[in-house]
Amino acid sequence: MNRIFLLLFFFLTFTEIFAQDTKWEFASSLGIDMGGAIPIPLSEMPDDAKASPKLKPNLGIAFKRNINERWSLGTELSYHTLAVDAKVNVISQAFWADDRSYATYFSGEAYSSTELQFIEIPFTTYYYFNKRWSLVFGAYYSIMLNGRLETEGRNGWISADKNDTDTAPLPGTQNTTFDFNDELDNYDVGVLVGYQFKVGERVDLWGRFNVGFKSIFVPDFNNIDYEMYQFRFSTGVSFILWTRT
Amino acid sequence: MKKIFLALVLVSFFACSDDGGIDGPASDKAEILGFTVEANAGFNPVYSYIDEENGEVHVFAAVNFDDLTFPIKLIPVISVSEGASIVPALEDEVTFDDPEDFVEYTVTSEDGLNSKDYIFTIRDTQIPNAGFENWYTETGMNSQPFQEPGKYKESTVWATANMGTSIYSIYGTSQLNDGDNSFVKIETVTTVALPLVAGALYIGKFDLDGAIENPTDPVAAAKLGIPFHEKPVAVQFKYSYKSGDQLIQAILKDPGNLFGGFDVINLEGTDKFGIEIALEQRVGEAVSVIAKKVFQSAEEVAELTNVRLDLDYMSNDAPTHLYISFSPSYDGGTFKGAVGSTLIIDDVELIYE
Repeated sequence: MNRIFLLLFFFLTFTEIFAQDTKWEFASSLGIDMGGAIPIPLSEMPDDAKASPKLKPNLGIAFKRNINERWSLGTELSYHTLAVDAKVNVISQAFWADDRSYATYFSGEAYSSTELQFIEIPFTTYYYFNKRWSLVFGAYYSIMLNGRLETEGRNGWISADKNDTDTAPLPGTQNTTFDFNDELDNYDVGVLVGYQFKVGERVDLWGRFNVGFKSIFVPDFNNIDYEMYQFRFSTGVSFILWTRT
Repeated sequence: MKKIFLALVLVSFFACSDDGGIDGPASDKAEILGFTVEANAGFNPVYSYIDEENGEVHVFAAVNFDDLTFPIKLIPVISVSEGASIVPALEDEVTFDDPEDFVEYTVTSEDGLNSKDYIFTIRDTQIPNAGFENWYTETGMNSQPFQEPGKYKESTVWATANMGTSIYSIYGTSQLNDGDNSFVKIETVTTVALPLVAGALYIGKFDLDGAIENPTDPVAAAKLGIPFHEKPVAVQFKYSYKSGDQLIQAILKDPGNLFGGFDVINLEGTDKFGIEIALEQRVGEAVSVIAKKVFQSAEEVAELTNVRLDLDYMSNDAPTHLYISFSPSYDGGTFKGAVGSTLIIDDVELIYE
């Protein structure tokens, strides 16, 4: 108990030292995104899946209200592009009819290419450990501007009979494509957690991890056996353009 | 001094030649530009067609292969792109063991970077395998084998939609045997995904990529026609036909989405089979019809019966292509027909005056 009290004492003392000097801040930010969409449940992701996330720039503006020495609240408006290519070997991957009355199965090499362009509005809370380091956490809402998710099956076999694709010798000779562009939802919500590091009076470095809380597909999409959720790591730099005490 | 100058000029000249500076770079073209054969063993060539798109060369003779004795040996006369090489060599004699046999050629460009494969076939005034005696084994999209008309996959002129429906392990076109005779049965079938698929038999090629890109358009995969230059007056064949019990119209709930399901409407009336014959002149993308015949009938014909369809000529121009298509449900391309409609075809013959 004494130890907890001691830790708490030092913690409060430490944060008191690095009190915020301004009440309002307005900043612009520039960074890079890296991420994609992962199948949920994760057991749907084969062990040999190979993903190649593409680095894409992000751009945004941020408002921050410093509440006290340790806490700030913020909101942002930022543009992001999330792009990833992936390759996986699948056995009897099912693509169901809309009413799930039958499925078409594919065994072979499956390639996917995803690119999501969206405007994100995060609502963030900052906790300052000291004058340089702070923890950032919050929730976001994003509006999809453009979405593309195309898959291609190569060197495989396609059948409405799962027995065929379960036992077909690979590689096969058939290629096919499935296009999910029209099935992508027009918004996403999720949570974020990250850090901010002050490198100068008006310059911050930051890094964040965003995870979607909903499938990237529209609610009535049930052609495949799993959902896909957005995840992203972003890092960048913010420039404080305007402050007010 | 003059000798040194002359030597420098000569060195410069040969240096340029080695680099291709004066002669120009080695050609990257790998094409057959001309192809015929020397007449032999009753095969007297009258027309050649080089199909660059499909990598095929067809040499026609004004004979009936029934009058020739196979194997026959021929010496091709070939011209290729400048500097290109060809295998088998230009002067090599080639052997055709039967009328559907073919020879594979590979042309390699002068710079060695490009090559193109061709198959060479010989044709008479009839359609190869018009009696449907020969069938080869194809592997479907589901990895399972099925039969297609023709002795060899590479040279057959007959196409079906079986590859497309192989996903469902359903084959609308199949071989039927009666003793030593073999003919073709074309059925309108149903699958788990499609309430109605009209089997198809036509002269041309089935384009699997077209089928995948246009899954809701059964006709998109049919590339009708083969090179052909003669002018038959009619087409004769044997057929029998039985319509399926219930005429239906299947309508995609979500046009463009094959997985969205169908609404199926029962219709009054009887299904009818359809046969379309056309001689066309194709020049680039331009297609003009030289002669055509469309025949439809709902009448049940229980026994194989001879029918002759006279072509209606619309032009005196020389044709370049011929197609014939058979369907047990004439409107099957729009998902209209009766499951179970069955058309049997045998002994297709082109009639000349």
